[in-house]
Amino acid sequence: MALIVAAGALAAWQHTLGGTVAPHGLEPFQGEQMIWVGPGIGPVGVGGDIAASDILVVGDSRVGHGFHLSIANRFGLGRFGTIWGGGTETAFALLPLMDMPPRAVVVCLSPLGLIGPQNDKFKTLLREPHPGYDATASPRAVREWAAREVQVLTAEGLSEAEAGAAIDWWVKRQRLARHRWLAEQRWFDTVALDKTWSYELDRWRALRLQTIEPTAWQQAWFKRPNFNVSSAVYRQATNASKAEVQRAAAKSIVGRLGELKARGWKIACVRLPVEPVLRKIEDESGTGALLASIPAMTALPYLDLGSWDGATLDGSHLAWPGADRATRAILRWLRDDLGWRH
Amino acid sequence: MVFDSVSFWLFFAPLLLGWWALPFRAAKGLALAGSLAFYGWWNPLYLPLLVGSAVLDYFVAGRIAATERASTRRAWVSLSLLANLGLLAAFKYTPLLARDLGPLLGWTPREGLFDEWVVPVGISFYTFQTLSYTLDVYRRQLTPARSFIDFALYVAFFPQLVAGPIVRARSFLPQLERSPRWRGTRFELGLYRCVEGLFLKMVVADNLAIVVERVYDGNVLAQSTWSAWFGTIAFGAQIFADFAGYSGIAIGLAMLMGLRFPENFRAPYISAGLSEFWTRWHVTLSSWLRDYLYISLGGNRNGAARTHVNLMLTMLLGGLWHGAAWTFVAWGALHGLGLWVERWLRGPRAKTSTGRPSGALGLVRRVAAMAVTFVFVHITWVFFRAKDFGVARDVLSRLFTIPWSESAAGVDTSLRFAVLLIPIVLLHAAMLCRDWFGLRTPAWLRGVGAGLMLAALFIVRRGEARDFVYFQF
Repeated sequence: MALIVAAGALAAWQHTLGGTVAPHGLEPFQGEQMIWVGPGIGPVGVGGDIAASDILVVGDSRVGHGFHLSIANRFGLGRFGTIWGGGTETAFALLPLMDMPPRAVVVCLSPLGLIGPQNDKFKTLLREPHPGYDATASPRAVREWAAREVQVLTAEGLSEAEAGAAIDWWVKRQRLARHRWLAEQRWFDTVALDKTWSYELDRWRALRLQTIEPTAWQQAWFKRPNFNVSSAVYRQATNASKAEVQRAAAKSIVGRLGELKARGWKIACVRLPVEPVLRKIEDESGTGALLASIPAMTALPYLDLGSWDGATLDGSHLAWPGADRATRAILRWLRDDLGWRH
Repeated sequence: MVFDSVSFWLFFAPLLLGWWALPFRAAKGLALAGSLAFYGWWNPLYLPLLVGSAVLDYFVAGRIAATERASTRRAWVSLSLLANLGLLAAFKYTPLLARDLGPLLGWTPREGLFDEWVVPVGISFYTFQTLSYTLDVYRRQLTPARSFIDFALYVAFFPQLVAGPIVRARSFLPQLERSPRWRGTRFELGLYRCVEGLFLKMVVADNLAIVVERVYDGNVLAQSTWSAWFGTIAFGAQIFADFAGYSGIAIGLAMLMGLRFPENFRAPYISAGLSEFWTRWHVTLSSWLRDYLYISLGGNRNGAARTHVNLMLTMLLGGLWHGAAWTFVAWGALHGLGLWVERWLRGPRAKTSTGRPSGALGLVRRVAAMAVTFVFVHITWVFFRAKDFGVARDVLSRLFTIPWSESAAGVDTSLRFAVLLIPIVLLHAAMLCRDWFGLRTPAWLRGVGAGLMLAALFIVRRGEARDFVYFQF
């Protein structure tokens, strides 16, 4: 009886309110590591074991939401790892590769990767390696750093609430990363196993069902896709006044890719899909053409996945079903068109 | 391993099959091996502690039962008390004692010395279980277990191992003497309890935590008075959903295996007094404290003054059992004070009736008493949840700011989260109907409820996966 009621309730949900709710996405940074990139740039997020990976996927937050490591690792092309940062310039995200032995990399190009809209005040937070990103830092070190950093940020002009929220974000990420690091020190990484299974269950659910996220209840009952915020961000990032900065960033990416290529790296470039409304903004401003010119200048293969309607959380970050589709599309392209083999 | 993880259910399914398919002796061996694996999943380094505690109490109880000499019996039981409480104190209270009492003795621990201190999961629970066994044997209320496997299974049985309910040997060991009979209705009820428990934990408690954290882990002074109250009531609901959810799953798992565990929660927020509250909240702990601490101290047998001292001591130690922080002691002290006041108002012999009040006046009095108890319990929760007295002070100052005064303005938490309180209200209403009118939930309604909760488990995402609150105790 309970199963019949549950099935009925789920079907009713899917055919009524469920259709109006935003699909849910990957949880970036959940238990992931961060690595320090450089002064003023700060750390970038790392997914998987990048030292042991055969293929790395590099980019901004679109990678964190849009590329499924669990699918990629089972595809038969070898072990994958990701390096990405929210709003991080692609040239910066490529920095950790410069010291690595050559292998393969997929570079995901994005407008924000040409100009990270970082708040200057937050650059204070990123001026030096801090315990907030270090999984091995003790709780005491994090506590002391957090107290110090709130004072620094408020002195820079942030309100106490803004500073507190920024530091809380780091403390929370550090706690997750530390939890994971401690688990890895044990005889058997049971936490990783728990995480993998619950991830797979969550993925299974996300591909079949619209879910409710109570974290959004502070604003509205149902988290609906809202492209207005993203549109404003992208309009600003692709504004004509940014053209010079964008060109300089593109040049810097081209330089780094050229260097990697010369050192024997196998490289492919990808543009992940976004909603049509954002794609229009990106293309009309000329940013799309600038992105496409990067692989052209370095004679690298390029896959543009175009615009996908209703596939994202907010216009630019893929929700779970969209990420599933995009990941498989990239993997097939690498295997079938580029002939990448493990 | 935790009940709300996929790993647990992948572990439990084959174990359940083995439990019913194997001969009973082998099934008990399997359950014991499974229980040790369940505990070792967290950290196998602490398994020897659990096994050592079981071996010691098995041996001590045997020695107590083997002699009639009072002094020898006393010596053995003292050894058990010393070893068990010593272990608990060493792991749980060393940082607190070192930090707060060390300076009085001329030693100040260096900053961060205890940052990496680990308290073995469930030590408070299994220590109390093994102690109750030895004390029962000492009091001649129980004959010692004949088989070590049975006793070890009693101590380490995975459903209750890390967060209770605190099961007594005298109710559990007899169940291991013969193979349980499979009954469809009990199995069904066990499944229902598991679904209900998971729903309470993953849908209700983990999402109410969003509201609670806004108040208790953020800047509470930036919140409105209304938000501070909402956050505090949400915490009362969160801790109930979390712990009653865990206990419910434990009871359900035992039912699926044909065993019985005592109930741990009976809709505590319909209590019309603190003494009634403690017969409804964490019942297995309060009855443990009553039987082995309060009564051992003399209970109410030595006059009013001594009774009050015993009550206060029991509540203070009950508070300290929950955590090594003075805020927990303050929480226990407030409950102790509340119990004093209640005894003074009602008289020492008055008993609280949980049945339907007679007449309109009786109903009004009962509802008023329920409201006063609800508010008092929630004010005491402030000390339970706040990470230190500073936060408790800030929350209390926010709670008691006059709502319409200028300084009370602040950020409001959305009332939408109140929808998560509905299942808790329904659970309490169902218990009230049972107490007052003898109405029980029919099987079909349970089926519908389970179906809806199952659907909610699929649809509603949890704020962020959190450990069960009582794991830390």
